Formats: sequence, C-alpha cells, structure tokens
Amino acid sequence: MPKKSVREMTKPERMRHSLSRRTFRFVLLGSVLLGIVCLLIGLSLYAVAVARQDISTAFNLSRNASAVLYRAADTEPLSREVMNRYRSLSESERADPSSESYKAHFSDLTKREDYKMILSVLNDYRKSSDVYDIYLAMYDSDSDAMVYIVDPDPGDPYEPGAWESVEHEGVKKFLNWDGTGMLYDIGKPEKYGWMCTSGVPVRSRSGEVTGFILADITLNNVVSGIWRFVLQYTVGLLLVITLFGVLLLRYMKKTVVKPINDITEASRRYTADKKAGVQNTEHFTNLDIHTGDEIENLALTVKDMEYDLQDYEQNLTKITAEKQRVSTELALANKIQADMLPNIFPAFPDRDEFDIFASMIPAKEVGGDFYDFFFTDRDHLAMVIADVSGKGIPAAMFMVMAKGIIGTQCMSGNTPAQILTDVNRLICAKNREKMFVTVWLGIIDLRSGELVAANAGHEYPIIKHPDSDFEVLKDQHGFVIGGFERMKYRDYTIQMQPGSKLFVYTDGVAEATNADEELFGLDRTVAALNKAKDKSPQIILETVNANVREFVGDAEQFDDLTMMCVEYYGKPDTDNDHRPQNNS
Amino acid sequence: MLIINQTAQDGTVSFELEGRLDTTSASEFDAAVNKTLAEAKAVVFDFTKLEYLSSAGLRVLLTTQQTMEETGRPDVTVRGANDEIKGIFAITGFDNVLNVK
Repeated sequence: MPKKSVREMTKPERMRHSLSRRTFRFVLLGSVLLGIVCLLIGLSLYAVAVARQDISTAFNLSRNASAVLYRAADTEPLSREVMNRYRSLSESERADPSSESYKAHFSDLTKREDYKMILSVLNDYRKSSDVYDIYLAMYDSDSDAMVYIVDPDPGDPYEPGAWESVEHEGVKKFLNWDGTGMLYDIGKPEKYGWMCTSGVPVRSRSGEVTGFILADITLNNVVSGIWRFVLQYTVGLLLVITLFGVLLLRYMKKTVVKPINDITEASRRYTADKKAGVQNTEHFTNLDIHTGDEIENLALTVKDMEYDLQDYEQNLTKITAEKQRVSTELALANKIQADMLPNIFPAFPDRDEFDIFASMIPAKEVGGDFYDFFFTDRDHLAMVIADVSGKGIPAAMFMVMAKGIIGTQCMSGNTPAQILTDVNRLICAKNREKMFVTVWLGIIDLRSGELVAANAGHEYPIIKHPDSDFEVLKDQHGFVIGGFERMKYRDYTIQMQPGSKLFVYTDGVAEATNADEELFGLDRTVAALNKAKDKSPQIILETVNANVREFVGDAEQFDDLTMMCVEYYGKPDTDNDHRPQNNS
Repeated sequence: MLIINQTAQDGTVSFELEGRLDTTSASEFDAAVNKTLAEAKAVVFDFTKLEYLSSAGLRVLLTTQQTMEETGRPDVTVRGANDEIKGIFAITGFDNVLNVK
C-alpha cells in the first residue's frame, strides 16, 4: 500500500510524525538506561565500601581483644581443656550439642576463674562496639567443627563445648594466616541474616594456635543502606531526566521542529497558490530560518528552487506559446497547400470529353505530394502527379516551387519530355539543398485521345482500356527531377479510347503499411482498381482509398495518399459516346 | 530503426545498412555519409539487409553521387538491394545514375 501524503493524514497521525516527540522518547529511554547502569555501578561501589568499613572494624576489634586477652588472661588452659573434652567424646555422644547430656560434659568449666575473666573482657568489648558478638572458639579439623569456648552473646550464648560444623575451605585462611591483611568470611547463617565473621588466631607461648578471637558483624545495615540509596538515587534521577527531557524538547521545538514546520507550511501554501494559478510567489523567500545548520541549508535550497521554478515556468509558458504558434502555422500551411491543388469537382462542368477526379489525403505532417491538371489550350489537358523527397515544411516549400515551375513550363506548348527537361534544368539551378521530385506529366489531346506523357522517376501509371482490366503500364523512366542538370526525358504515347481510364498515384498508395509492416503494394492497388473498374473516377478513387484504409487498419498513415484518375469519353460528336447519360 | 555499419579499406568506404532507411533515419545516415566523403575514393552501399528505402533515403544516395561526381570520383556502388528496392531504383531512374549491382 502506498504511503499517505502529509495532506491526507489525520491530526493524530501527524502528531505521531513528530520529531520532538521522538526526541523526547529517545531522551527518556536513553536516560533511564544510563541511569540504571550508573545505579548498578554506584550500588556495587557503595556496598563494597560499606562492607569494607564493617569488616575492618570487626577485624580491628578482634585483634585488639586478642591483644588485651593476651595480657589479662591466658586462654590456652581453658581452650585445651575444652578441646580435649570435645575430642574425647565419641561421635554419637557429641551428635546433638544442644542436648543436656552433651552440655553436662562441659558445665563445670563456666565456674573456672579464667573462663569468667575471658567472658568479662569479651563482654566489655562487645558492649563498647558495634559488633554483634565477639567470642573465643577453636576449630577441630577432624570433625570440621567450630567449638565455642567463651561466648558472651547477649541473646543466646553458646556454652563452652557447643559446636557448629563449618567448611574446611572457610577456615583455611584463618588457620594459615601469616599475619598480613585482614581475615574475614562473609556468609548468611539462617539465624542472623547477612553476617561477616572476622578474627585473629590466638597462639600459645610456643606459637601453637589454641583458639580464635572471632567478631560477628551483621551486614543487614549495609543491605538497608542499599535500599535507601536506590530510592534516593531513583527519585533524583527521574527529576533530572524529566528536567533534561523538557529542556531538550523545548530546544528541539525551537531549532528543529518549528523551522521544518515552517518549511512544510510554506510548501503547502506554495502548491495551493500554484494550483490557483498565482504567479511570482515568495513563500520560501519569506522564511525566517537562521539555525546555521542543515535546516537553514534546506530553507535556502527551497528558496532557490522557488526562484528557479519561477524562471522555468516563464520559459515554459513562452515555449508553449511558441509551439502553439508553430502548430497553428503548420495547420495553416497544410490548408494552403491543399488549397493550391484543384479540389472542386466536377472540375470542368462545361467539358464533355472527359471526367477527372483527384484527391490528396495528407499524413499527419505536411508533405510534398501534389497533383495538378489544367488546360494548356482549348484541346489539351495537362495532368501532373508528383512526389517531393522527404516530408515536412522543406518538402512542402519545394513542392510549391516545383508545382509553379511545372505549371509555367507546360504553357510553352512543348512535349512533356521537353517540359520535364526544362523543369529539371530550372530546378537544379536553384536546388542547393539537393531535394528532388518525381513527376509524371501527361498531356492529352481531347480531340483524338492521344496522350503524350513523360515520367521523371515516378510510379508506373495504371491504365484500363475499354473491355479490359486495369493494368500497370511499365513506361520509360527518366531520372528524378532536381538530381542532375544533364538529364533528358523521353515522351511516350498512349492512345486513349473512349472509355479508357488512367490512374496515377504516389508511393503513399503502394507503400501504405499495416501493423505487421506489410506493404499494400502494386498488386493490391490494381486489384482494388478492378473492383470498381466500370465506375466513375471518383468512385474508383474512393474504392482504392477504402481498400487502403481497410488494409492499414489501426496503423498510422505515414505518407500522403495522393491519387488521380481520368476517364476519356471521346469527342462529344463521335458515335462512341461512353458518357453516362446523367452527365450531359 | 536503422543500423549503420561503416568500414573503410584502401580509400573505399562501405556502408552496410540494416533495417529501414526512412525519413527519420535518413538524416542520421546522411550525417554519417557526409563525414567520410571528403576522403573517400569510392563509396559502396551494401543494402543486403535493408528492408525499406524511402525518398529521403534516395536523397542521401543522390547527394552522395552528386558530391562524388563534383570532385571527379563518380564511383558510387549499391550492392545487394532486394527486389523491392531495385524496383524503386528502376522507377526513379536511380539505376541509371548509380552503379547498381
């Protein structure tokens, strides 16, 4: 389906075709995407920073606690005692660390002085800081368990000997610590949510690890901080995007949309004016666009176009007028040419010796065919049929000259051959353009029926004597007139009987062409003539013309169709009077 | 539609024509011939593939013959014309003026 033009669009459709809306959508989408990317980057940076802070706090606390403990109390005896008791129990006995029977193995330890001392130190530390818990524990590598030794947890403290299974991977770096960097492990135990455990190993005087001071820090504040961050960030971002979008929209409207709409509107008024026939419009000239970019270039270009089209229009009007004038003149020339030929029939109503009829049906263009007939004296009728080479105005002008010279020369009383020789000489003398004309000239003595003729390169005459058919007369041919000055022509004589008919024509008849590029030809011409062989010259010509038309069909008539037919009746006082009874 | 195939050998210029030499194509043919006449010793028109010849085409042949004759090189030959074109040459008397083979 073809696209609608702007004029055919409804208002909502035009709205959708809006640059500013598209820009707005683009900015909105782009900013939101950009915002999300920034948010993700910011979030991760924020989370890492906060978590690092917490970890470092926990680590320092546990290190300090371990240092203090080192001076305040020796943790080694208690640790060893707990671990010894733990290891001495069988697997089944220590299966449930929360059972009373298990707890009974360790219950007496809480009464020990060193236990109370360690507990009070750790408890002081816990209270004075943000950590959730700070405790002493030892790892048992055989059972992969973290065994609590002293735990001051305010909520649900582990008693000595309580254990939790841990993964070896998680405590490996604690066991192998070389004293540099921070020790921590982040996990999510079900009981507490996100949690970070940091700590330092406690070594005996011999350097053996006898326990770990561990600090648990809840990371829940980090998570809630993230949520607060996201909320603030999103609100801020939306505000900035909207502000930015609105500003950009206004900027686009001013620098892009309005100028383009101005040009569109100018175009609309321009076409409306052109339809109404208004000349010299200045719709684009009056555009006030100074954007200093492609849009200004566009405005300048359409302005130039308006001027150029104006010039073009004026030229076109001139050319059209000129063409009109030429075609009027051509039509007039055609008419003048046709009027030069004798075209009133019957041509000689006061003469009984003969009947003559001729016709020229011009092709689209003026051509160079002509026929002529006239009396050179009381008893001699001259008949001319001729065809000038080429077509159009040159052929027509040459034809006028040829017709005039032939007409004048015929009055000399010479024979046709002498007349054509003289005509040829006269025409050659002025024929710079090397046009030529084929001429058949015959002069009939109406008293005797003797027809003297000469042929300068023209088609063969077709003749019919009484009681026979039309036949082509292969007469003697001279060269066309206008070619070479030295040319001579020869006379020949035809004895016309009362009832004899002579048909002469130009090549437009035999060369009439149908849609299959077939020529009408001489044979069809003779056949057409014989269809009306007993009819008057006028009927004979009409028959030939009808046959040619039928043959040609819808194909365009390319050449003039010129024919002339004369019928000799004989002298009116002879016995052989073949004239039709109604023609006296 | 006319195709003009022009060759030259030892001063003889040959024009092989194919199609229809009518009013429209005659001016093109005329221009092609005129360009070469100054240097040609002889001109040959090969009409073997020519289907139709109008009076405007005859005029080109005539002017060629005239130009060549004026400069004393009256050797213009027409070759291979079909019967229809030969008929036209006979009617118009061109067969006496040109060297029709």
